[in-house]
Amino acid sequence: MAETPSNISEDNKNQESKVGSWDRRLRSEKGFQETWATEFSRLSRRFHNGEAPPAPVTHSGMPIKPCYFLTDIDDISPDDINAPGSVPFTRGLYASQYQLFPWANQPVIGYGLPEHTRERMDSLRAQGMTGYMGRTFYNLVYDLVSHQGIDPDHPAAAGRVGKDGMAVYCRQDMEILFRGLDLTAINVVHITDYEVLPVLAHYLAYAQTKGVPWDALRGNTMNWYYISAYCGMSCFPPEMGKRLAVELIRFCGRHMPQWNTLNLFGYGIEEAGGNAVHEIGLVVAAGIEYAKSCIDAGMNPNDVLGRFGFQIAQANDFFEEIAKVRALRQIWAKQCRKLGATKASAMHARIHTHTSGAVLTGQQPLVNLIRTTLHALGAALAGVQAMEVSSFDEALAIPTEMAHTLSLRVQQVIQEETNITAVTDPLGGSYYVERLTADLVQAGENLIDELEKRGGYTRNHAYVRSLIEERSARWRNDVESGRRVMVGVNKYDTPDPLTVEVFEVPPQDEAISVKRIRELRQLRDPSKWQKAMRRVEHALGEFADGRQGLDLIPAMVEASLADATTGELMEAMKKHLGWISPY
Amino acid sequence: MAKTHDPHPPRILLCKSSMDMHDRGARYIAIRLRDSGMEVIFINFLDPNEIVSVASQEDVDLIGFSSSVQGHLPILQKLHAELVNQGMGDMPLMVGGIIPQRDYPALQEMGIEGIFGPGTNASDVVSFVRQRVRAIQASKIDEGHSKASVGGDV
Repeated sequence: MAETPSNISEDNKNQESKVGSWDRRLRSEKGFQETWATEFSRLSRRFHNGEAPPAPVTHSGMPIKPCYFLTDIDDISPDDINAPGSVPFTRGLYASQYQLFPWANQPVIGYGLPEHTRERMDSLRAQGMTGYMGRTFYNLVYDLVSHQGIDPDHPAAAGRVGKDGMAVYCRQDMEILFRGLDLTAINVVHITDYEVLPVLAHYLAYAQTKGVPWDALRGNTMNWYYISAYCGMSCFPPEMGKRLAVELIRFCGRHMPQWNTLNLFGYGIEEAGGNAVHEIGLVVAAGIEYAKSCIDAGMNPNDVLGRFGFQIAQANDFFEEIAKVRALRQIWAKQCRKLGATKASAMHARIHTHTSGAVLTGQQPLVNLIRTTLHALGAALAGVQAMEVSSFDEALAIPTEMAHTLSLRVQQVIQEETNITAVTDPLGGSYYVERLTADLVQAGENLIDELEKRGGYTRNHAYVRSLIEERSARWRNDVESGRRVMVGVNKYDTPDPLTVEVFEVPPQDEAISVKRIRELRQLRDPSKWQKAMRRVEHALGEFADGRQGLDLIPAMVEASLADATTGELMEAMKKHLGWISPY
Repeated sequence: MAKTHDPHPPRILLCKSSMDMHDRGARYIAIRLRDSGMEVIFINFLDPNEIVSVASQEDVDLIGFSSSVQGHLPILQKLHAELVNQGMGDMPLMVGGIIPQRDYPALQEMGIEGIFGPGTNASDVVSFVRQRVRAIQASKIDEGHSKASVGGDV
């Protein structure tokens, strides 16, 4: 239509009448709200001894109201909510949410020998575990021995081999784990603690022996040295950890552009006792600091930030946890813009939900299926990219095959039976959810500012720990006093007639693992191994002196090809970089 | 709540493997024991012998062992054997965290009376510790008395 002056004036008139109707709507809404308030007081007087009921709060202590109205969101800038797929992505990263790409099923897998872990990978895949575009994602967790950076024949490894993760310590173990799988058609998440680099080196060395170019690999490394603020394990000193993280990000930028380099582990904050505000505020503060270090080292913000991702809990306060996810997307997008990101994909908080394990119970364990279903439902309504649903036997052991499968079924039922995936951000525009999202953005940003004022995350591990510990104690006090209900624990705690099977790692796995690592050391070419380890030591020495660590990963790959183990590589790292007790 | 000053407050060693990320429960128990007037030493160990040497140096009355990641039985067996070796076989032990029922007989065989699994009320842990420590202190006093009376007879 040609733009004539008459058309323009008609548009203006339409605009004016729309504004008029908005004002009228707001005025009516104020009237509705007054009527509601009068009625609410009347009911309170009648059913609550003449007093107003206590004002509700969320699980993180945010004040909330018993009912929300249009007037409650009137002051929120529409630009902060915007549309799905538009900055700041409050309503979701993409214009199409689950209509085109369902979230990825990403159950955590890992126990015993690599072949046992592989059995579980195959079994879950056969049960329908699916990533994006039909790819399979394997979310693999390493065992305690690997986390500690020792080998299975170390005296302190007794009892711990293959526990809480898989006994994978060298390139040959990778071979058992991935035999026959096309590495270019799968995504592999390596859930490590501080053994990030040795494990990546084994994976790269294995890929090399299979003729798979590194830039064709997809997956994640955790790179989460900053978690030593709230996870009680021995670790590299925080500044050194940050520098190691930067080296991995630099290496991947050059050689593995499809690889996700940093996982921002809010889940661990929630599991350690932190609330929703701590989770988003602290993890973003850590992410900002790592990103800044990369940018200071000359990397491009778009390249760096585009490969970061989040692992976030979904706990019991149903709406607050949804609003938390929406708030996180907004906070992160704004921070990334400040850091210099210009591409949308570099402002995306890509979120993997790990439903809370800390709120699951050993008592009446099947009730946990109900809890995890609610958590997964919340995550779906919040619009996350991937999910691990904790198993109902979480508080007893790592999952049995049955429990693992049921957790996958929770996702599949929500994905395929409920029609929830038909609409993007189905809670968008809810007065309550939008208000709570805005309030959580504010609270999260306040915490980020506070850390900034104190000199940044890395220098403030003690402060981070104190925030989380204080809240953890309050939460537990509330459970013990009955103020916070835990069904089966402090209420409805009748004896459970059901006994569930508790998983046990095959007891012979430890001896087999020890035998394998000893054979590996006996059979390898000692001169090749020594030469490779000298290169590793040299790279570590230079890095410890404050120089760049460009050769760290290539040297470790050569060492892995020369049959070095995770324990040996970690021993060298500890020697040069320091290894300290948890805070 | 006003606390009465105890001139000899119980000294408790709480320990957890440095491989075990899960320390929320153990740290909460530490807070609760401290709040009830006890002295708490908290360590992360790699080798169980470290627990014994801290227990001996710090002259503790009870050891609490936290595990949420399985694999604790061989470590507790090693700890127990080392305590016996060092002449501390009567040191009371308690275990908390994710402890499956099937481990109970083995734990009881080592003389471990306090086993606190998921969902434990911390007040129960505090009263267990207080009772155990009181019983030991009483038996030490008795021992002292009987030694004295034996001495008197000679």
